[in-house]
Amino acid sequence: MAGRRILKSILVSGLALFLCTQLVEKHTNSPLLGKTSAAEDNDRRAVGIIRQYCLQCHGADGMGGLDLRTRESAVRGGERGVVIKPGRAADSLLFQFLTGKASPRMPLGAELQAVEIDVIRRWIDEGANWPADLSTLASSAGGADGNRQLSLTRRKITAEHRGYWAFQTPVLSDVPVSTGQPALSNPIDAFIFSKLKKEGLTFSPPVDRRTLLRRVTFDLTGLPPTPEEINAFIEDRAPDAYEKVVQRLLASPRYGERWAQHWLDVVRFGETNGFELDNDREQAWRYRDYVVKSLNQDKPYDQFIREQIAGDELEPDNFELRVATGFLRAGPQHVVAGNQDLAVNRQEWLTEVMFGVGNGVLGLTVGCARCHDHKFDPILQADFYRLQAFFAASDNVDYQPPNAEAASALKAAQAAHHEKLKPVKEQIAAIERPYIERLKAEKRDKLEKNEPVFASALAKPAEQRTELEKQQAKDAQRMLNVSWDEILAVLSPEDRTRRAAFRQQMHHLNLFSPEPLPKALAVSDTITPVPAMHLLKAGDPHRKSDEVRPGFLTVLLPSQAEWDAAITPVEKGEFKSTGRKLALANWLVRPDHPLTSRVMVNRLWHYHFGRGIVPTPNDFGRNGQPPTHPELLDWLAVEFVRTGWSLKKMHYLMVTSRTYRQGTEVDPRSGAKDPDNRWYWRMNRQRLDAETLRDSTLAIAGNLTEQIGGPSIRVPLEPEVYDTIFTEAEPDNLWPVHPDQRQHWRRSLYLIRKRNVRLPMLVAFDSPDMMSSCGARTASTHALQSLTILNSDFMLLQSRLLAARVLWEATGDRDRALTRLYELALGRQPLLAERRLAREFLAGQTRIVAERIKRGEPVAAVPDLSPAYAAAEAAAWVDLCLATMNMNEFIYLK
Amino acid sequence: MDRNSRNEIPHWAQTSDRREFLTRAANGFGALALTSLLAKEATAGEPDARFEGDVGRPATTSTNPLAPRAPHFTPKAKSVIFLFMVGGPSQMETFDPKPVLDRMHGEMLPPSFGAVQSQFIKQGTPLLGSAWKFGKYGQSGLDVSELFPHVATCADDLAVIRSCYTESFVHAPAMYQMMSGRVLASHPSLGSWVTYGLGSESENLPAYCVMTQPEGLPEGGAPMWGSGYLPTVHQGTVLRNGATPILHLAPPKEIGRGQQRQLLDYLRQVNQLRFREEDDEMAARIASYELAWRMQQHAPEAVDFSRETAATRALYGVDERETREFGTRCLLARRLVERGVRFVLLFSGGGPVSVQWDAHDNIKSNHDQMCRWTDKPIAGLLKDLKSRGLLDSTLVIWGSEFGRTPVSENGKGRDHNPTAFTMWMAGGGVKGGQVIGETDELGFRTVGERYHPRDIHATMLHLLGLDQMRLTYLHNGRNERLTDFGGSVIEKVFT
Repeated sequence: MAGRRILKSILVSGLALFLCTQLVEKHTNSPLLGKTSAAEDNDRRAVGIIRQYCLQCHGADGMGGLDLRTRESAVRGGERGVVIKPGRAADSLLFQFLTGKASPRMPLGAELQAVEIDVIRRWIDEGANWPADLSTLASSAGGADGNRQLSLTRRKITAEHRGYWAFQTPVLSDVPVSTGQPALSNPIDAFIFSKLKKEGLTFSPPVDRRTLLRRVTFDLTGLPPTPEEINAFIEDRAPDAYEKVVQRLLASPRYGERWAQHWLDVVRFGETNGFELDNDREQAWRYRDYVVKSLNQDKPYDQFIREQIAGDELEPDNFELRVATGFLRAGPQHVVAGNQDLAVNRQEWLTEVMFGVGNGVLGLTVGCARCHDHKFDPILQADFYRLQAFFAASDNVDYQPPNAEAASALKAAQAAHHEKLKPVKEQIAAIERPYIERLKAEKRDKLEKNEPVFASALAKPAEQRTELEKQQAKDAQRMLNVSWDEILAVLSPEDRTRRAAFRQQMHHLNLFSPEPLPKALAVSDTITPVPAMHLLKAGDPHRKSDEVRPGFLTVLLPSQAEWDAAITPVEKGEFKSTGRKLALANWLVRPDHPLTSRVMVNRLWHYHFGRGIVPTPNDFGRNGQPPTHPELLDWLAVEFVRTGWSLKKMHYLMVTSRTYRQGTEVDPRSGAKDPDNRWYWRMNRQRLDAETLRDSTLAIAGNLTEQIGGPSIRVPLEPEVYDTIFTEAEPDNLWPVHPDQRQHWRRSLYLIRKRNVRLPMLVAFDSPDMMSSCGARTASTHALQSLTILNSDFMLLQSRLLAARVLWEATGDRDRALTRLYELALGRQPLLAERRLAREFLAGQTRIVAERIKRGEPVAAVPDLSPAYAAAEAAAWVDLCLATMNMNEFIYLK
Repeated sequence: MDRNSRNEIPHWAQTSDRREFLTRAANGFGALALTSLLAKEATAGEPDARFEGDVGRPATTSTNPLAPRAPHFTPKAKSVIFLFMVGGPSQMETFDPKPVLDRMHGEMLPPSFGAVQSQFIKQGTPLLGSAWKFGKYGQSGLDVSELFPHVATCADDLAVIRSCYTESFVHAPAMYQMMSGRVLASHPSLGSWVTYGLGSESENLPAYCVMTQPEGLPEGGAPMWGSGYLPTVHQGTVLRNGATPILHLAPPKEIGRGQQRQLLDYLRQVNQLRFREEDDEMAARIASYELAWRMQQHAPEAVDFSRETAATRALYGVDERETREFGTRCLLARRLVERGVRFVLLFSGGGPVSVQWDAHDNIKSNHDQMCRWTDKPIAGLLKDLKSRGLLDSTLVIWGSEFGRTPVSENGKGRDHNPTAFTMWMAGGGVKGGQVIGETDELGFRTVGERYHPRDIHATMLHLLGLDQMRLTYLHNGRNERLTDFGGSVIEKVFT
C-alpha cells in the first residue's frame, strides 16, 4: 500500500525533474533566441529555475510578501528583507534559502541540483540580470504589490478543488443488481461482487464455521471464542445461527472494550503528558471509560463527536460529558519548568487540538496547513487558523462537581493516611540525620577553605551584605545543600538497607492512599476576553498576520458563502461559554458533511477487513490513496447517517456480509490477477495486534480479570524498562505496581498508557506511540518480537497457568489435555500429525527436564498439579503451552 | 519497483512487495545474503568455535526488515558511534580556548554582547574564566584543554566544530533536536533513520544499540532513541550491563537453552505442517525465531570481552576505577560496530545532576570528574578502532545538546548555552586535525558560519552514503525527513 504511494511520488518528482530539465533545455537551445553569450545563457537558466520552483508560492500569491515574477519585485524582497543583492550571492537571502543556510530551506518539498544552485549563484554574482522576454510573462499575470498584506484568499479555491471526491456530499448510488449466482442480499456484497466480476474474479468459498466464529469473535471483542461457544455455534443449525452470534457479540461489554482501543489509537490517548517529565494525568482513565461506555451503548456517532468536542456546552452539569471533552486534550503536551515561552506553549496546545479534530474526525491532514497552505489539498493556511479559532477561548479545565461532604471526608482520610506515614518518615529521617549533619559540616569546611569569598559573604549578617555578597551568600547556601545521592553514597551498608526497607514501607502505604475526588480532565472556554486569533506566519506565534474568525474549511463551503460561522453563545445558569465548540461540532456532524460519515465507516471497514476502502484512514486528501470502491463507501456513509449514526448497525452489516465470510486461502488464479486482494476476492489474514495478543494469552490461560473500567493499572515492569524512566530524584518508586495480582491480568486497555514507558511486549507488536494519531497500525515481524513471547516472565507465567488449566480440566487424560489446549488456544482439535508431534515433544522435554531436575536446576512448576503428573512432565507441558502460544496460527487470524 | 530509484527508500512492509519477495525467494537471494552475513560474522572479532554449528542453518530471512540495503552513493562510513555528553559540556573548558574570557574573569559581560538568555540565570552574573590551560597537539596543533590529555593525543583525527547551536536552552528539547532534528519529541531519532536507510550488517545483534549511564537516563529519556513514526523495529535497543544485554534475550532460567532449542524445533515443525511455500509472512515469522535464537547466542558473546588483551583493556582504562564504567561501554561500542551494528548511541551522564555534564554549581569539580571518567576511554576507542582498521568506516561523533555560558551561575558554575558549543567528528571519512567555525572572544555566540543539528545530521547521512533529501518516510500526509527542510552538508568536515 505504502509502496504504491511511494511509487506515485517517485513518478511525480521524476516528472517535475523531467519538466524542469525540459524547461532549461528549451531556453538554452531555442533556435528562436539565436546565439547567446554564456552569461546570458546563465541568466535564462536562472530565471527558468526560479519560475519552475518558486513562483507557485512567490508569484502572484506573494507568500512571505515575496514576488519573484519580475526583477523589480524580486529585488524589492519580502518580509524577511531584501533577498537578492546583485553581485553578492553569498550575502543574498535567496541563495541562502536555496542552500539551507537560511531556514527553511527552499524550495519546500523539492530540491535543487547542485548545478542549479550554481546557476543561481553565478546569476546573482553577475548582477541578477533578468532577460526582458522572461519578464513579460510575469507582468501579464497581474501586477505585483510588495506591500500587500498576507491575504486570506492567497490561494483561490477552484471548482476543481471543490469537485474532489472527498469534498462532495456522498450520494446514494443504486445497489448493483446481480443476475444469477450468487444471490446477494447484503448491499456490501452487491457492490463488491460487481467489481469482482468486472475484474474477472469471484468470491472465495465461505470459511468454515470454526474459523468464522474465531474471526468474528476476535474482531468484535478482541478475545478468542471459548470452546463452549464454538461447540454451541457448530451445533446450532438454525439458518440465522451466525447472525445470532453477531448480535451476542455486539451486546457483550467486551465489544466496547475492543473498539475503544481503536478509537484511542485514533485520538492518541495517553495518561501522561509525554516529553521529558511525562507527568501523570490523574484520572485521565475516565475518558477511556467514557469511550467504552459510549460504544457499548451504541451512542450515535454524531452525538459521540458532539460530546467530545462540546460536551460542556451541551450539558454543563453532566460530569460524563465534561469527561468526554478529554478528547481535546488526549494528545501529548509539553510541560517543563524554567523560562517558558507561553505563546509557543499555547500554540502547541491549539495545534494538538487541531490534530485531533483534523486527523480523527475529518480524516484530513489539516495540521500541514499551519505553516503554509496545504501542499496537496486545498486547505488554506487561513483555514487552519479559522478552525483553530473555534478553540480561541478554550483551555484545560479539571472539572470537579462541587461536593462538600465528599471533600471533607477526603480531608479526614488524608489526615489519617498522613498519620500512618508519619512514623515511617520519622524513621527514615532519623537514619539520615547524622549523615546529613556530617555532610553539611564537610561542605562548610570545604567552603571556608576553598571559597573564602563565598564563605565570608555567608558569614556576614544578611543586612550588611552588598548586592554582590547577597548573590554570593545565596550561591554559598546552595553549595551547602545535601542531595539524596550524596546521602546514599555515604550511608553505611546497614543503614542503607534499613532506610530502603522503610522507604519500601512508605511506598507500599502510599499504594493505599485515599482515592481523590472525581475529576474530569476537560476542556472549556475559560479564557476571557476571547483572544483574537491570527494567521501565524510559518506557524510562529510571534509572527502574527491577519486576524481570523471561526470558520470552516473553505473548500467545503459553497463558493459564495461567508467564512464566518454562525455562533450562538451558550448560557446555562452559572455556565457561560462562547458556543464556538458547539458550532464546530454541529457542523462536523451535519448529515450532509462529506467527510465525517465517510471517514468513520471507512475506519470500521479498515478494522474489519484489514484495509480501508480508502487505505489511508487518516488521510482522505490527495496524498492519501483513493477509495477502491467509491460507490460502496458512499453507500455506507449515507446508510450510516440514515440509520442514526449507529456503529453497531454498521458492524452488523459488514460482518454478516459474504465478503467478510470468505476464506483467506490464496487462490493461485485470483492471486495472479490481484495479488494485493484489492478487490476482496478473499478475506485478508490479520496478525493479532499487541493488546489482543496479550489479552488472548490471559484469556486462554483462564486468568483474564473481566472488570470494566476504573483507574489504570501498573503491572510489573521488566527492570530493563524500569531503568529507562527518567528522573533526577531517587529512583525507588517510579512504577508503583498494583498490589493485587488479579489486577495485573486485566485487559490491556486498562493498563496505564504512559507515553515514555510502554510494555515491551506491546511495543514489539506495534502498539502506537500515542504521540500522533494512528489510523492504521503496522504489522511488523522481527526477532525481538520472538524473544518477547518466548522468554518474558509474563509468557512463562501464563504458560504455567495454562498448563495447570488443561491438565486439571483433563483429569489425568493426556490426550484430552492436548485436545483442550488446542481448543482453547486455536479453537480446534489437533490433527493426528500434531498429536504425534506433541507426544514426541512432551516425551523429549520430559527427559531433558528430568535430567535438569537431577542436576538441581530450576524448572517450570505447574501450580495445583495433580499427582498423576511428575514435575518433569508438568514442565514439559509448560513448554508445550508456550510453544502453542507462539504458533503462527495463534498469532494470525484467518 | 526500483528500490533505489532517485526519491525514496521504501518502507519495508508492503503488500505490493509480495511479488518482489517471491522473485527474490525463488532466486535464493535470502539464502545467499545470509551465508555472506554469517561468513562476515565469523571473521569479525575473535573466532569462536561455539557458533560454527550455526552456519548450516536453513536461511529463510529474506523478509527481515533490517536486511542491509545499499546506500544512495558510495559511503565513507558504514557505522556510527555517537558519544553524547549529557547536560552540556563547556566549550570554553574543552576545545575552544578563550584567553580574553580568562583575562576578564570576574568582570561583567560587556553590554555589546547583548542579553544572556538561559534557563536559570538572571542578568548580571560575572564572567567566569576557565580553570584549565590549553595546549596545541598533533601535527595540526589542535587546541585541546588539559582536561583531555588522552583525547589530545588523537588531535589529528578530530574535526572540531566550534560553531554549533541548538534552538532551546532547556535540556530535553535541545536533546530531541540533537537526536531528531526537532525540539518536540515524536520524530524518529538519528539511529532509526540510519537503520531505516541502511538496514543492519548484523542479523545477530540489534541494528541500533543504546548504552546509558548506569545511574540513570538523560533528561530527554527514551524518545531520544525512539523510532517515532518509523516502524518500531528501528527503535534503539538499550543494552544492559552483564551477560544478557538485551531485554528478554535469555530463556527463562526454568527453561534453559537446550530445552528451548527443542521447543523451537517443535515450533518450526508444527508451523510447517500448515505452511505454504509462497507465504512470505509466515516464512518471516518462522525465520524470526531462528534469528532470535542466533541473537541469544551471539549477543552475550558480543558483550563478553574476557578475551580482549590486557593491552586493549588498558587502552580503555577498563581496569581503573574512574574509567572502568565508561571504558567498558566504549569497548563494547567497538565490539558492536566490529560485528556489524549500524548505530551505537553512548551516553556519558544521566540520572542525578551530579552525574551529568550539567555544571550549574561548579564547573571545576564537575568537569574534573566527567572528563576523568571519559577522556581515556574515548581516546582508547579512537586508537583501538584505528589500529583495527575500523576507524575509516566508523564515524565517531562527540557532542551534546548545548554548551555553557561564559558568565557564571551560582558563583562557580555555568548555565546552558545553546547559542554556541563545540562538537567533534572523527573517523568515517572525516578529515582530522582541523577546526571548523568560531565563536566570539568569550565563547558566548558563534561568529560567521554556524551549524544547526540539521547540518550535523546532513553531514552524518552524507558520510554514510545517504542523501538527506531522498531518505524519506510518508507520515500523516507528509514526506518526513531527518533534516526536515534540509540541512547543509558541512563539506569541510571531510575535504
